[in-house]
Amino acid sequence: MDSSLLAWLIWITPLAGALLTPIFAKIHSRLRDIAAVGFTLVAALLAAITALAVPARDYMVNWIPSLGITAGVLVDPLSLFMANIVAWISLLIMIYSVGYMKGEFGMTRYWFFMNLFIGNMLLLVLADNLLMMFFGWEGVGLCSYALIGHFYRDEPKYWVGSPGDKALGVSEEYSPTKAGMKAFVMTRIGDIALLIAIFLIYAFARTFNYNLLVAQMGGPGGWAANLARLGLLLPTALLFFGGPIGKSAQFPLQEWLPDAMTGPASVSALIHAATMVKAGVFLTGRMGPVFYIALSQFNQVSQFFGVIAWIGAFTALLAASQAAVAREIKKVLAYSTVSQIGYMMLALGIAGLSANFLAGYTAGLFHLLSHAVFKASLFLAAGWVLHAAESRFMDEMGGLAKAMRLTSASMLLAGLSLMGIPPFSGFWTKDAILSLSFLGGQYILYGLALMTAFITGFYTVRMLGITLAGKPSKHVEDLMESGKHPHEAGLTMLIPYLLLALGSLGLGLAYPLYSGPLTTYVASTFSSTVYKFPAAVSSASGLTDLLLLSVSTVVAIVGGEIAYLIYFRKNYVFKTDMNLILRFLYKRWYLDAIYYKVFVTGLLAASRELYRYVEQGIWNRLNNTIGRDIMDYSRASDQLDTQVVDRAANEVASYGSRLSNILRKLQSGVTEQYVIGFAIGIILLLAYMLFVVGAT
Amino acid sequence: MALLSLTPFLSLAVFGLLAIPAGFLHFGKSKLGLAPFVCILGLAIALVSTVWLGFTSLSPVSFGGFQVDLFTLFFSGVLLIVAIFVTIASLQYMHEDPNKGPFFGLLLLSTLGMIVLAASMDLILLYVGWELMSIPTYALTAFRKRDPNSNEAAMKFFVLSALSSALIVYAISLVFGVTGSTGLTAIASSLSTAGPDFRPFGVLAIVLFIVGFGVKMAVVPFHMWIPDAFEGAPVTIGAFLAAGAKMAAFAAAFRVFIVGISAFNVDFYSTFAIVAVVTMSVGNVAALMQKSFTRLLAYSSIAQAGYILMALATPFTTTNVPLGLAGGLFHVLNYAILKTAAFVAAAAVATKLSVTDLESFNGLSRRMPQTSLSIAVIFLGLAGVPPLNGFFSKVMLFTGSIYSPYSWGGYLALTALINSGFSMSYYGWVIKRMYFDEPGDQSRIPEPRVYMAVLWAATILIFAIGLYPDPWIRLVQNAAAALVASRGL
Repeated sequence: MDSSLLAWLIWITPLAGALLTPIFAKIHSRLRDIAAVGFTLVAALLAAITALAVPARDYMVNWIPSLGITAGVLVDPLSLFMANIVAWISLLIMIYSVGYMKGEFGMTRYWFFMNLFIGNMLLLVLADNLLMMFFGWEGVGLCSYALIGHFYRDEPKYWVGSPGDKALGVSEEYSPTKAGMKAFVMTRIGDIALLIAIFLIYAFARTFNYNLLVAQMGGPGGWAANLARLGLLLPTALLFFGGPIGKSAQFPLQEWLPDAMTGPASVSALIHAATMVKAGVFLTGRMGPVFYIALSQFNQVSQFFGVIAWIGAFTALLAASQAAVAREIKKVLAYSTVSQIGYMMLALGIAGLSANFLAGYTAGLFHLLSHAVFKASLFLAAGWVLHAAESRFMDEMGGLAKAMRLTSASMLLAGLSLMGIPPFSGFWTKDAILSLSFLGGQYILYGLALMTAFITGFYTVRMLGITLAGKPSKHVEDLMESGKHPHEAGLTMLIPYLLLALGSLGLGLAYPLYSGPLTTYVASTFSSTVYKFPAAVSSASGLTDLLLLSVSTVVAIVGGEIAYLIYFRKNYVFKTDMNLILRFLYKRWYLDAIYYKVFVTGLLAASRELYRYVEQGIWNRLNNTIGRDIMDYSRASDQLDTQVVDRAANEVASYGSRLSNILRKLQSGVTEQYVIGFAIGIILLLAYMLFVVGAT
Repeated sequence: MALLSLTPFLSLAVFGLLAIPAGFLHFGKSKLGLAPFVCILGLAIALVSTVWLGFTSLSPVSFGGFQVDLFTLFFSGVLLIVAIFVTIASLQYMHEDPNKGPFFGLLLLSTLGMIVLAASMDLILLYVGWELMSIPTYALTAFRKRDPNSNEAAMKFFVLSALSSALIVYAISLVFGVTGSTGLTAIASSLSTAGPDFRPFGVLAIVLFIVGFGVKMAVVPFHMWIPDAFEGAPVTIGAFLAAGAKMAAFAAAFRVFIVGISAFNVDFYSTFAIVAVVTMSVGNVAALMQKSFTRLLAYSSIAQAGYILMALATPFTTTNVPLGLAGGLFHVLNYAILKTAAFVAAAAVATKLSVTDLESFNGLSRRMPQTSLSIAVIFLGLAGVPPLNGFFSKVMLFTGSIYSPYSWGGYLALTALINSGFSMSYYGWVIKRMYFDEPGDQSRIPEPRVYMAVLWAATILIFAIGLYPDPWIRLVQNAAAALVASRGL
């Protein structure tokens, strides 16, 4: 057997599993659940075996020879690193789902889309060309739409946003179906930009394959040079980055993710930790080096990577500031994801801005790994917390630590990792990004990232304090009185998030041991003969490193400390009358409302007006002016109808009357309008052809 | 042996005439009668012989102005598939109608007209094909003679269609006046040497051809009858008009412009580019505003016509068959399947709910799960979502446009891409209605097997072409090459 089959099966297995789910569901619902988890397990095992046993290479087959398009899986360190993260974390989320989704409706649909989601993500990661990657990319988008809207009956308990929340008159409350639609449409904006870029690349390079894109980039006659000659190389790269901006919820397309919390907690975990939002980071990582060497021929590297870095740093700060005032626990985590992805983008951008490309590059990917682990843990645990407290609002929780010690412990561990406290994995990877931006001389970016670290410390402790520590809120007390004591989660749920929290600690403790070899491994994706990155400059002295380390840690701890003093002992009450700054943050800097007004209301209105004027208005108006004669004629014939035809009709039969009705309608102007449209069309075409085309 | 290549045409003519009297014959007490089966038999023989000819005949067979080459066979295959889908769906849709003989007979004769259009290399024959295609469709549109909407639609359709026929005849007479010939190859060689004095007449002929064909191709601003006609006609005839007559008009346009007029030294490509942009933009914007499913399909079909027009906006050389032209033919195939299936789905809904306003699609996935699933697949295909069939034809069309020697080619591709992305909004909106909105009425609606057979066949084709497009792309490349070769220069 060809060992490359294993690599193919990594993404085929979950897709096939999705298709088989309805069949298993017909046999028994238990079998369906087990099989669904089983397919993800097989995919995860295959990903691990492939990493160990299959030689790294591009496994290509002919797909559309008539257009010279091949299909294939690209087995290389980058894709295997990513595929293993995706598959294994998805597996834990699937196991959690068995307990969490027990008794919910639409479970066949749920498993179908979960496996389809995972399969498409793995396809996206393992594809060896942009076209197949785009298939996975679109598939991920469709599945997220379906899963965010999973509770399509729109019961109020699945909504996101406080009742009555409004910004600039636009409701900030989102029902599952509305949130799903929002996610879909918003990411589509990025997708169109991405698609344009892919088309441009294909049109000039005549291939979609990653390796061929690099190999054929060439010198003066290559595709990069041809694009650059038309001034299109940098725009292409930026349009390409539009896709990741949409998918990974970066500014200015970050607004869909916070509302995507309407799906089940397991779906949120999947979207945030393993699939969807990581797709953008991965794709930037996949094509970043290609653009790097393409752009470096024309000295445009710093423009492109500067955009990535600035968008990342700004998004990180923007989202962190919103997380600091959020009321719903899942929304805190969602803003936090946007913010952390901002860090990853910052790292990938810094890679191109600093002298050492690979250091920034691996820092971004390592932060992806550590974020995947701790964010999955936090989301899954939060899912249980809000289930037990029967509320999504943090102010209706409080004091839950006593009832659920293990859940609280795992949230604490994962939270410390998110804050970047040593020795958790989040500490190492975030610190690497911060120090690189400092050492790369990007002091403003460093400052933004440092502020983000401060706020991250603040909102993490705030979240833990309001929900787990302190006194139980009135809502929790009411619950207890009615006999529903919040209690610890079942094992199928507890084990996944506890394991992930411990994993975050373990990854942090072992970081000094594996970071070197893993860096070498991931960096070996780019053979030095093909990718000519500048030689690694030795990093700064140990003293500077230590200083940077302690600064970022202290900043995070101070942020946490402030939140500890405010939120840990007291009973938190959510107030609707906020001061100006708080309101600005809470209403998401008013961005959501503005987008809604411009793009939804505005676009619909524009379409309506266009339709009215172009499809309906013009002809009517013309009728009133140019077409007056025809109207007169029409009126005359109408009279003829009523007086002659109708009279006859009354006498003959109803059939004739119908005919006259038709004739009358026909002559009421509608058809004349059409004919006038005709005439105008002919005149315009003639004028164009005689005067514009003919003139040349 | 050359006569064998006429089998598809003869089969349709013979069975088309047989179907009308066969309508009076019944098996036992069955209401269905013999006519539909005669019709299906005729179509099946025609399709099988078309496929067989496609595989065996290597060189084009010509009978004067009548040419059977791979381009003819490609269109004949596409149009016969449409006709078969329409016939099968009509078995159910016309079940109660007493006049099945004329219905199915006219359907066959109109199909014959369509494939004659694809085969004609002579303008007179082309005109005969055009009328043979058109006249039966007027009667078919008005087939529900007690339904005033159907009659009104037929009247509007008739008036504008008659106008288009008149313009085509005028264009033919102008071309004849300039070149002294009606054969397309003769016209081409004559036009290539035509002096500047003839230029205005040639330009007028081009415009009149664009308008005349444009009425059937749904080119803005000659599209206005389409929403009315599709809404008023029996729904299966809507499919026949949208997928059949429209694609046949494209076949005629491809022949006339690429074989005949491209030799004339007038750059009509930019005209087509402008028309394409206007057509797709108006179609997409207007589709978003519709409240009825059939009207939405009508505007979406206008938008799709805009994409296919891009093929006529791509110039070519004899040595190199352009990607855009092959892409245009591929989109003809994909569009025909998608649009027919969409109308059949509309028929399935309309038969049971007797309305097709979009409100009644709310929560349809729980009432008609199979129909809803196929509508979702069809709509994603129309929007060009990978890995469905519409994606690859758009890739070819758009890339072809980027390769165009004109500097505006890139902008054309860009506009088309943005349009394509925009179209997702109304396709997605319908899918949202079906899957996420609450139905007013929860009751399950039976889904007739006949419709489901067509819908499943179409859904499988949509996936099959999308996942393994290679043989189909080779087919359309060969068909495009045959078209270019038929210039005989």
